[in-house]
Amino acid sequence: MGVAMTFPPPWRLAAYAYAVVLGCVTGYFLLGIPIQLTDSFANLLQVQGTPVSQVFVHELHGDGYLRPLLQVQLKIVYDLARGDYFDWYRGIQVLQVIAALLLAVHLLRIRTAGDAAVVPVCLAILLGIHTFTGTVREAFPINTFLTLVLCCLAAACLARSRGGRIVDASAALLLVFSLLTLETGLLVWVVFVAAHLLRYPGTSRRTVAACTAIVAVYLVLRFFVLHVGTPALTERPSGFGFGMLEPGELLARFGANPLPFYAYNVASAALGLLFAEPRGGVWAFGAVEPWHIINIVSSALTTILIGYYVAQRFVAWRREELTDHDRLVLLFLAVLPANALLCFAYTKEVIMSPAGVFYALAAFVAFRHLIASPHLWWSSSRGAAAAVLIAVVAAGWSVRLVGIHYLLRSTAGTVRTEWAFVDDWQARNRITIASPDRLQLKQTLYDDAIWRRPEPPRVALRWADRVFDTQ
Amino acid sequence: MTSAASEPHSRTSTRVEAASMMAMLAIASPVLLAIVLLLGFIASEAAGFRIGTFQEPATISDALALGEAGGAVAMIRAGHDPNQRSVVRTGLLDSRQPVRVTPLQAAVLARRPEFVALMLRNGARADQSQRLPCLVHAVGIAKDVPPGLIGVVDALHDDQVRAGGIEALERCGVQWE
Repeated sequence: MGVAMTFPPPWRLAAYAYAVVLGCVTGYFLLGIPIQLTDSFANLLQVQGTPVSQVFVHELHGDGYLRPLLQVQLKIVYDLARGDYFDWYRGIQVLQVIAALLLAVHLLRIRTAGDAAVVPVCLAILLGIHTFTGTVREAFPINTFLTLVLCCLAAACLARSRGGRIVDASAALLLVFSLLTLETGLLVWVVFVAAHLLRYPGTSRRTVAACTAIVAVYLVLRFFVLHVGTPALTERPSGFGFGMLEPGELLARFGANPLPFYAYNVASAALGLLFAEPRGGVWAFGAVEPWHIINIVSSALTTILIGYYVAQRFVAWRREELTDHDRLVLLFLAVLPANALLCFAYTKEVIMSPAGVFYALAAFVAFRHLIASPHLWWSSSRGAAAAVLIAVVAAGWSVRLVGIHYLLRSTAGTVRTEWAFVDDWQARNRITIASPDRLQLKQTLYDDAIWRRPEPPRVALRWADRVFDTQ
Repeated sequence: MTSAASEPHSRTSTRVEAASMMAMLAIASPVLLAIVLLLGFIASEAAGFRIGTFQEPATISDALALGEAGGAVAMIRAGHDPNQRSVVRTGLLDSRQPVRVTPLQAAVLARRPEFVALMLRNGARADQSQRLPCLVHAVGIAKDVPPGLIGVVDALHDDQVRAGGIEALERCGVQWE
């Protein structure tokens, strides 16, 4: 009795292959950036020479933040690297980007040529959207936001699976890992709950109950046992209206009643994702560059297309007729407000990166629906208008996709320059590096940045800074 | 009868298919073009071509003019003399033709006071560069250079019209060819 081998449809394989190629392209540009000084060096100094258990325990007593596994991950990779910090940390980041793209393609369930045709623009949105920028431009040196994006995608993949005890256990572990890595780990729970309500097969009532219990334990630990709380109003500067407000100004304006400020942050986080404005809570004012227009037009049109899809399917949803594609859009609609709520304390674009990824998946569905809507193509004029609209949106996202790679190339130069001024940075931040281990770490990272890896050539296109978003 | 009725339907269906194919092309081709461009860029770099990028700086002064402080430090470490006058390509430092300047002069003309300090820490000597204080005033960065660093003591009296590149060099009587 032979075992029948089933191969994925060729278009699905093509989509996976495309995701790997795109991931490698981004990886090439990422590998030009040395380990960062300002974001990473201080973190590495912190975990150096401290046992993993101690790192974990120390991070349990943060003020406003509870992220013990963030430092633990840095520590584990630091020990594994044995001096090859660049290869390990940057290599992990590249693998994470490729994994995120593959998981996204997995969720899209590619079957036909029409599905495959929309994959490039979907992945261009995933990588090119401004909320994703922080996951590749910064590092810490393992980018926790990128890790969280992976966790959310993995949660959706688990929800899409057939379920069972192994899936239940994996879901619980994934949630614990996410919650202890970053506050936005709560989104993994949101994904599981939403997936259960949407009748994804992998999330049983048992899964949701277990995950809810874990979240309850986490909240009790955070607020009543460890007294970590939430970030204070004076934690950092935050965007408001047309500019940034310093902590003192925030306190003066919202100290008595921070609710309006929190509401502004939540609303601007959601709007920023959907329409590319405001950015980090700040509305563009004054000189408008071409990249502003490209961002706003491509985001707004994509959001309108998603809205069109929702309007078209709403009646069917009320009858509880859900397709796989519907579920992806509804998952985005669940993650978006939850993610925006987590931005209440301060607005930072990268916090919205998980919602940005689900936005790309929802956009895939909306584009796919548009292409497969026969009534649009019956009329030549309507069909031509739809084709032009699609081409404009796709062109906008293509520019943003190239833009993120341009940004990575500029970042390579910026980081190298920062390392040239490492002594000034140390003096400014009053960091003393005296022990041989610390000196060794500094020298290795400095040599990597300045000496061992020559700076990749800088882009010499005068118009690039105006066309590509470098914020 | 049936066949005659199905003919227009078949024509419509073919048209819809063609239009749908056009839509697929409209959505996929811009992004695929972007990927081809990125792959082409990577391939050209791997082959040693410089398309849309600056040529690698050959001298410390050139690296500083490009803003590559790390590259300048790497060159000093590789044995380049931090006091040597060398060529900076056309287009950088507000110049219409190549100029030969010291790294300190290049840092000043690039209006990067932090580069000046960096070069001094890496072996450059202010007395090896012609008319440095004058250049600092000419390009208008006297207020940003720490007093005494390169002999700029009169930072508050910076009332000259700002100049750049060759004009600044000529105003200060610095030999640049």
